[in-house]
Amino acid sequence: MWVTILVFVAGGCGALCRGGLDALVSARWRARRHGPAAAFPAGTFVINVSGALVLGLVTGFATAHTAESVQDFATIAGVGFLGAYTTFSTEEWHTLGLLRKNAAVEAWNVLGSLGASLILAGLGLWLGGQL
Amino acid sequence: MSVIAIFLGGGLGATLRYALGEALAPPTPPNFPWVTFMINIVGAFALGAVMTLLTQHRLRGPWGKPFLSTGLIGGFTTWSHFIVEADQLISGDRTGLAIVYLATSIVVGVAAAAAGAHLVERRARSQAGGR
Repeated sequence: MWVTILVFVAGGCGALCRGGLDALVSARWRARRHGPAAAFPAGTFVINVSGALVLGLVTGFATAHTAESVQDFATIAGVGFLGAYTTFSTEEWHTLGLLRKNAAVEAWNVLGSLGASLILAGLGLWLGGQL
Repeated sequence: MSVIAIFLGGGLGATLRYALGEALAPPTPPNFPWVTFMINIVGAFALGAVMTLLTQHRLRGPWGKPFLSTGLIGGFTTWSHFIVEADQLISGDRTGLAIVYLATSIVVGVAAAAAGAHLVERRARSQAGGR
């Protein structure tokens, strides 16, 4: 029961971190870029790539350590916080918007997000297993 | 007020995703991650509908964008688990299935977001025409 309550609290905190960081990064990105590059969803990119790296670390660690306390931590931090911090739906919404207006930025967004996330999460999985 | 709405929405979204995972017993890494796939597609559809309602000014206040979009749907869907699952498929020697998972999630996700947006736009048009 308390794991479920902590997943709720961690999920709420994850969503708040995403909201705050997205506003901060997006504003800074748009202030310094002109033309098509300004449409790049930099906030969601930073959030999803960083979240993938940390979930890789947590998952790698939890795979190597089977203690119940480690599994509970992985559930609260991974499923709760990082699951809510990163977002698939917003990524798809940005992709749809870019697909309608700016196909080149859309391709960079999808391939860049996938590539950077896969590499960093893979690194995290390996590093987490070494801890 | 919107900080509370994001927190509650994100907590609820993460808890819902956690409960679905527990109830449906997510497939072990070497198989297609159906649970995350379905969660992300349903979320992308819902976000397409909600974002379109927001642009039509039919959802307002803290229970609109903060609670539903940033909180509930953003917290429900997850990018980090999507990526880590794909990495686990690759390290489990199922690279082909990983590519299928990545590609179908992105393509079906964008289509679902477009379908959600289209549904709301069509309803708005038929309501405007009926008056």
